[in-house]
Amino acid sequence: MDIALNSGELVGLIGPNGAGKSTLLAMLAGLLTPDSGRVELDGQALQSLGNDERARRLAWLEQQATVHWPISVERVVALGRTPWLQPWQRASGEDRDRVEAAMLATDCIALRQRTVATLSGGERTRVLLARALAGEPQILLADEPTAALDLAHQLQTMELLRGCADRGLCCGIVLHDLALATRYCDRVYLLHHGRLHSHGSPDTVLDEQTFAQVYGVQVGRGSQPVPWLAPIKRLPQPSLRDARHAEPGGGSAAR
Amino acid sequence: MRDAPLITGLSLALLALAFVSVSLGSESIDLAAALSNLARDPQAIDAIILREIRLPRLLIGLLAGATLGLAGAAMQGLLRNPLASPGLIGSSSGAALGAVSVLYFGGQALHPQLLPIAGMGGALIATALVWALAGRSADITTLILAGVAVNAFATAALSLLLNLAPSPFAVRELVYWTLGDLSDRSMPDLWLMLPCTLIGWALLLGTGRSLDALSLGERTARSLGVHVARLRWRLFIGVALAVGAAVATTGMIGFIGLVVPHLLRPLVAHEPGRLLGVSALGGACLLVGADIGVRLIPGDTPLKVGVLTALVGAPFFIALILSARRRGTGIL
Repeated sequence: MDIALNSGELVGLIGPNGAGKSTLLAMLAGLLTPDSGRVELDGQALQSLGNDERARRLAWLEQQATVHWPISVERVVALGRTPWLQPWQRASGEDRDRVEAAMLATDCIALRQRTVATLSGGERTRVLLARALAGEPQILLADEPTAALDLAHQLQTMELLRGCADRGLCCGIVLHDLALATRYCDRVYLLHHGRLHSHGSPDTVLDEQTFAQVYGVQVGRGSQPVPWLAPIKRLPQPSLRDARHAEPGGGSAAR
Repeated sequence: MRDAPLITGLSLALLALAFVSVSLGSESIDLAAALSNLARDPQAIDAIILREIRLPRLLIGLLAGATLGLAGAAMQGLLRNPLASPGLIGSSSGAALGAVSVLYFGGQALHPQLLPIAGMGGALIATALVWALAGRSADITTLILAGVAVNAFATAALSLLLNLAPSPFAVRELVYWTLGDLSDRSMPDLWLMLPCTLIGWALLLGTGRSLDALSLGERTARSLGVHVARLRWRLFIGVALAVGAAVATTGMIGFIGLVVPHLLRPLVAHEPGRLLGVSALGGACLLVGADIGVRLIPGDTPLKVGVLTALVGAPFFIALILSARRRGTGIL
């Protein structure tokens, strides 16, 4: 598996449940060490970077992230500055400016005094995105940022991420919604059974054959007014479960 | 600094309590004269009372209370659970076992400070055991389970000593010690507990920023550059050292580590990092205050301060549960 994320790009990691998308994302974020192979950032091995250095350059957004104490939104966003501060160092004016800018970019200013537990799903996603942006990372990795959001907030979140990429950030996101992936991502990597199935622009990767082979469904799709697709029916086929049985421990047959 | 008013308030309260604490006693002394005599005429009776009896009592209470408050706040921050308490990781029951063993075998006769030394040894052994059981890269659950196991063993061994105690008087002495008390402590006791206490505090107080990040979950904290495994051990060792030293000197004093962080958390906007320092001050206030309380309550048998904190702490805890239930929220 060979994966590259570039700045100014919104890249989607897609694939069926259990394909290994989140695991791959955690490896890219340096939170898991791959059994073999390596992850590099600007040509330097990620593992060789110090914790703080890595955290300054790379932000990771957890799926369905929680905040354990009723801390105000403003303070949660300010936690994004953690990698820039020494244990006893107080936040400087610059730190506060970054926090403010991140809240502005994600439309969180009005929420600043609320606690995260009182927010709706869409608001929470924006706040946690602001937290990630407050550290001014070069790379933003987000694990299913649109999961459990209603339609309007899915679009809003994707627009925010698209905007980040357009401003030069390197964005890698795990996505389940292929319509959103087709519409917003520059490129996608399709994972299947823990292996890279194919990659490229969403249109080339997600063809009819791939849907049948990887997802086991027939889809209907169109491009007006925006790219859309919808599953029509499951296809009778050697089931996914059989395919997995055929390669114990993620064998070598799938590529 | 955002917490300046709160810290000032707690410091003033502590100062007032300290003044009351050293003024109380069977002999009434002129505090100003006694203080000046400390330097001028160390053999004056009021200077001796102050130096040998009242100051050790005050200062040990202050250190132990601050330790319990701080350690409670740190454990609750680490576990992200308001019910965590410093006793969770085995060091306090280890300290109790060590000290009670010395009482049981009559080791006190050998050297007056053998009891707190053994207590601290017990705390360290218990901590080392938890470390060995859990392994270096242990997750929180394993760490807690190892702590529970060591706690259970230390409690069992304590019961065994009580069971085998040669006479009812010996049982009484052993049990009394575990109740938690600040009376009859001496300056050497204070010097003995000081190093471990200060090292423990230093380890704990520096973790504020990491604990803040940890409120976003362990993985997110790691993505923010926090070395979570190192943080865990740092807190663990800090709590073990400071709480071990406190329990070895005063016996088991419950509920301060649980209640103080709880009371103060809303005043620091629920931020675990800001809670550390104020909890230390609050713990010192509560223990020094409770120690004044036991001296003011009349009766033939003097009340142990650990009994008073538990008597006040348990109803407080019940009230906490009830108010959480009324609000329909969790115990947070």
